[in-house]
Amino acid sequence: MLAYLARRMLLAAITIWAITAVTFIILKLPPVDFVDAYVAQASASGASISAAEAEALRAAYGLNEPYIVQYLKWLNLVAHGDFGRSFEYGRPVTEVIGDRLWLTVLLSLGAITVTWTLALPIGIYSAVRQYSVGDYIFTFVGFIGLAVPSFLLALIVMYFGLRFFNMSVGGLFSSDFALAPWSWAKVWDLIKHLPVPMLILALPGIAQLVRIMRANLLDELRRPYVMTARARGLPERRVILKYPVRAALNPFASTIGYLLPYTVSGSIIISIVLSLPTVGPLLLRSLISQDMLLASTTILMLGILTVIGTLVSDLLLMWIDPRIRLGQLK
Amino acid sequence: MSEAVAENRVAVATQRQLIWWRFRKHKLALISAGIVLAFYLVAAFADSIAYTEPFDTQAARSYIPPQPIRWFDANGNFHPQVFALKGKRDPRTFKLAYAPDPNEPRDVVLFAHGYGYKLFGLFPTDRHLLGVSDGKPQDALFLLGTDQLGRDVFSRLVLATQTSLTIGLVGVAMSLLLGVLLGGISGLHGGWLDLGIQRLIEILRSIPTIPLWMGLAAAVPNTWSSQRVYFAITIIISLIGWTELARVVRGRFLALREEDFITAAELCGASRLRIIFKHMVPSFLSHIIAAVSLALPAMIISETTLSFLGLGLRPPAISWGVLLQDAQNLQTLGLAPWLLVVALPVIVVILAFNFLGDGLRDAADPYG
Amino acid sequence: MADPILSVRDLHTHFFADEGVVRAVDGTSFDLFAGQTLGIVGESGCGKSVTARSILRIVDRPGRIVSGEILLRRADGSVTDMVKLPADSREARAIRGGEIGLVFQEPMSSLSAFHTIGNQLIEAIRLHASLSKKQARARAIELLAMVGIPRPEQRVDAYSFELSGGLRQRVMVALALAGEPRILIADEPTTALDVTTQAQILELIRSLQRERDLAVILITHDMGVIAEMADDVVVMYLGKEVEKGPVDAIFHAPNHPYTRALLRSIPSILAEPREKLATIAGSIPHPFARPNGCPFHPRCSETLPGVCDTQVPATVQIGERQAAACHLLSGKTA
Repeated sequence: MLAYLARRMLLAAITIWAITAVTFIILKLPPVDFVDAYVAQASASGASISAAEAEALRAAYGLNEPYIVQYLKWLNLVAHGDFGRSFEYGRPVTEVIGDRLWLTVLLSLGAITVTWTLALPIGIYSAVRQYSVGDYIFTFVGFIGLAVPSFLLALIVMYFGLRFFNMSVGGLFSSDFALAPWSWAKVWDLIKHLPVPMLILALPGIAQLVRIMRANLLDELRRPYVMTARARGLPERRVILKYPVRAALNPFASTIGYLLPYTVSGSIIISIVLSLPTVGPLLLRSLISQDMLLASTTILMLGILTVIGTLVSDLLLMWIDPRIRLGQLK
Repeated sequence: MSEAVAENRVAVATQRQLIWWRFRKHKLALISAGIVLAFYLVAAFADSIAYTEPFDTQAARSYIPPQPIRWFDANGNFHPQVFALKGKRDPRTFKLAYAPDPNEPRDVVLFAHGYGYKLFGLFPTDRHLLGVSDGKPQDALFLLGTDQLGRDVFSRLVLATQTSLTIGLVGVAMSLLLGVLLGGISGLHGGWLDLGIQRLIEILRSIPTIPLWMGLAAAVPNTWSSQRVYFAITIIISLIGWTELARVVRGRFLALREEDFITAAELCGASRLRIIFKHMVPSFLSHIIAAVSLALPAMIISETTLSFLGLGLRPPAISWGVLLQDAQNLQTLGLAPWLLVVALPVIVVILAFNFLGDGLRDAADPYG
Repeated sequence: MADPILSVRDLHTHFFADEGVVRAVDGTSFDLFAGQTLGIVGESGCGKSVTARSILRIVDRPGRIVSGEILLRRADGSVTDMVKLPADSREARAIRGGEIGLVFQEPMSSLSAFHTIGNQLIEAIRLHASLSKKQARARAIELLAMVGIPRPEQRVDAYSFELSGGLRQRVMVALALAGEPRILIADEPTTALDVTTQAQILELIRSLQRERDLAVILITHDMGVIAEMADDVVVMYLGKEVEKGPVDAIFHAPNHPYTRALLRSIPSILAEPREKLATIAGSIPHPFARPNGCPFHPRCSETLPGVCDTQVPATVQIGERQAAACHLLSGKTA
C-alpha cells in the first residue's frame, strides 16, 4: 500500500513538472517576447514604460540568457508565488484570475458530482433492465451526449433557452450581483445560475460513464458470485447492489482520474460560449491578445489543480479497493 | 445437415470473412458505414456539389432564409423551380430589401454550368450537380439560406465538410504513426522503455488538454497562409489522439506475445520481423481500424472546437468550426437561426463514426 | 422407504434465445431422500447445472421453467411446489439457503473479492436466523471451524483472494450450510481443484452429511466421484434423463449405451500399459441443432437406423428402481 502511495505521489510530482515545462514552452512560443509585448501595449494605451523598467523585467526573467536559465528563473519566481503582471489589465496576474479560478473549480467539481450521481443509477438501471424501453432511451441520450461537442451543446441550449423560454442561460450571476462583493444573496444567485451550465458540462461525462458502468455491470452480473449470493436467499435488490455493483464500481472509479481533466477542459469551452466568469474566457482573451504571463499562469494553475484532484481520486480508489489496500494489485 | 454445413463454413472461413460476417449483423454500424462513406463522397466532390462560389459575397443577399425547391408548377406538373431574388423598396423607409419573387421563377436543372474549379485539383470544369436554367444560381438558389455577407450556406457547408473531414483523416494518420510507433516499442521492447512510455501516456492523460492546445494553437502566427495553419492545427490535434491509439497497440502486442501461435512461430525459428508482420500485425489490424474510427470523431471535435474559439482555422478557410463561429452570437442566431444547421452534419458524422467504431470493435474479435 | 424430501417431476427448463429455444432440461424426474446422496452425471452442457438452478429457482434469463413440479417436503411435513413460487418471493428466498444450500464449481469466482469472508457468511446466517451481529459472527467462526479451516478467528476477516482454492471451496461449503439447510446441492464441487484437495472436499461433504442427516445432490461429470459418493444416480444427456437407478445397478448392469460409454471412458488402474482410453465418438451437438429421435443416436454405436433417428425413446422400467430410455430396451421387452 505504501509503495502504491509513493508511486502515485511520484507520478503526480513528475506530472506537475511536465506541466511547468509545457507552460513555459507556451509562454515562450509567441514570436514577440512578453516584455516587448508589454512595452508595445503600454505605449499604445498612452502610458509609457521606461527603458530601465523594461530592462529590470528582462533581468528578472533572464530573457537574455539561455532557455534553461530562463526556465529556472521563471520556475523560481512561480514557486515563490510571483506570477508576474498581466500586461493587458495592468494588474498582478493572481489578482486578475482571482475568484475565477475558484468558480472554475466549483463548476468542475459540481459537474463531476452531477456526473456521478446521475451516471451511477442510470448505468445500473440500464444493465439490470437491459434492452428495456428505459435502457434504449438512456442509450440514445447517451449517444447524443457523446456526439455533440460541448460548445455546440451550450450553443444549442442557449438558443433554445432564449427562443422558447425567453430565458438567458449565460453567466453565473444576475447583472445586479456580477460586480457586487460576496454576500449570501450573491451566493444564492450563483446557486440559481449553476445547474444549467453544470448539466451541460456533465452530459458528455455522464454519457461515457453510463456506457462504462453498463458494460462493467453486465459483465459482473454473469459472474458466479452473483449466482451464489442469490442461492443464499438474498433479495434480488440486495444481491445486485451489494455484489456486482460493488465490483463494477471499481473500473468505474478509476475513470475519475480522466474525468477531472476532461471536465476542466470542457468547462473552459462552455464558459466561453455561455460567458461564465471562470478562467475560460480569460484564457481565450489572454491568448488572443498574447498576454502570455496571464495565459501561462492560468494553464499552470488549471494543470496543477487537476493533478491534485486526480491524486485525491486515486487515494479514494485505494480506500475502496481491498485488493490495492492489501497490496495484491500493483 | 445444414448445421454441419454452417459449422464447416465457419471452420474454413478466413479471419477477414469472420469479421465481415459479424460486422454485417450490426445493423446500426452498417448504416453508419454508409453515412460515413456518403460524407466522404461529398468531401471528394465538394466543388461539384456546391453551386455558388463559397467566397462570393454580395450585400444584397444578406441573411436570405432557406428557400425550398418548388417541385410542381401551378398546373401540378413536375417542374422544379426556385424564385429569383428581387429588390423591393419599402414604401415608407425607402430602404431596398431583397427577397425571392414568386413572379420570377427559375428552373432548377442538374449538371448545370456554374463557377469554374478543378475536380480533385486536376480537371478544370464548371459543371455542378445543381444549377438554375437562366441566370446565376447565386441569385436564386438558397437551399440553406445565406449568411451576413450573402454567401450561400449550403455551398459553404459542403466545402467545410471537405476541410473538417480531411483534417480529421490527416490528424488520425499522424496520431496512428505516433501511436503505433510508441505503442509498438512499448509492447515489444518492454522493460524501462515500456515503463517510460506508459508514464508519459499517463501524464498526458492527466493534464487538461484543451487549455494546452489552446495555448499551442494561439501561437500559430496570424501571417501564416491557410495551408500552413491547416497543417499546424492538424499536428496539434494529432498530439491529442495518439495516447489512446498507443494504448491499444501496446495492449495488443502484449496479449499477442503470450499467444501460443506466436510462441510456435518463434520455436519454428521465424525471424522477429517476420513474426511481427506476418503473424502479429494481421491479427490486430482490425483492432487498429476500430480504434481509428473511434479516434476520428475526437479529431473532428477538436478541430471544430479550436476553430470555433477562433484559435484553429481562420477565415477565409472554411470548416465546420469556422462556420459555427458565425452562429456564436445570440443576436445573429435570433436573426438567422438557419446558421445553426451546420451543427447537424457535425453531430451526424460523429455519431456515425462512433457506431461504426463500436461495430468494428465488436467484430474485430470474431472468436470473442 | 420413507417419503422423499425432494421430488422433481418431469421438469422442463428452456432458454429462449434469439436464435431459437434451447431445451436445457427436457423432462427430468427423480427423488431425493434424507441422508442419501443422489448423483447427477453427464457431459458438460447436458443440463446438470440448470437442473440444480431450477430447483433453487435461480435460472438466469432468458431461461425459464416451462413445466414440471419440484416438490419440497418441509420440516413440518407440508409439501411446497417450488415451480409455483414466484422466484423472488419471501418464501422462495427462505428456502434458498435456508432449506437448500448450494455449492458451486468455481471457488475462485463464487465469492465476492470486495467483501470479507465473514461479511458474506454473517449476511447469510442472519438472513435465515434472527441472531445479533455478534452471535452471527461467533456462528460464522464456528462454521469455518466445522468445514476444517485452520485459525477461523483470523480467517473470518480475510478476503477470498487471500485463501487457496481448497480453502475457498471449504468457505463455499460453510456458506451453503449457513442457513442450516436439509438439502445440499453440490454442483461440480471438485472440478476446479487438484486431486488431493478433491478428496478432502468430498470427505468433508460426506462427514457433514453423516452428522446432519443431509440429503445431497452431487452434480459431476466424473464417474469415479459418483462411484465413491452416490447412493442413486441419474445419467443425463442433452437435457434428457437417459438412465437412472441405484449406483450398483448403474455400474454393474448399465442398460443405456450412453451409460456404458461413460463407464468405458473411466481410466482403469488395471488397464494394460499404453492401452488407448475409450472415448465417446463425435461431440455434443450444438444446442440449437438437436438431433431428431433419440438425442444420442448420432454418437451411439448401437443405433437402429429408421428407429433411433425418428422416434423419441420412451422410458422403460427395469426391475424395481432402475429405468432407461432406449429403443433397444423397448425392443427387448416388447
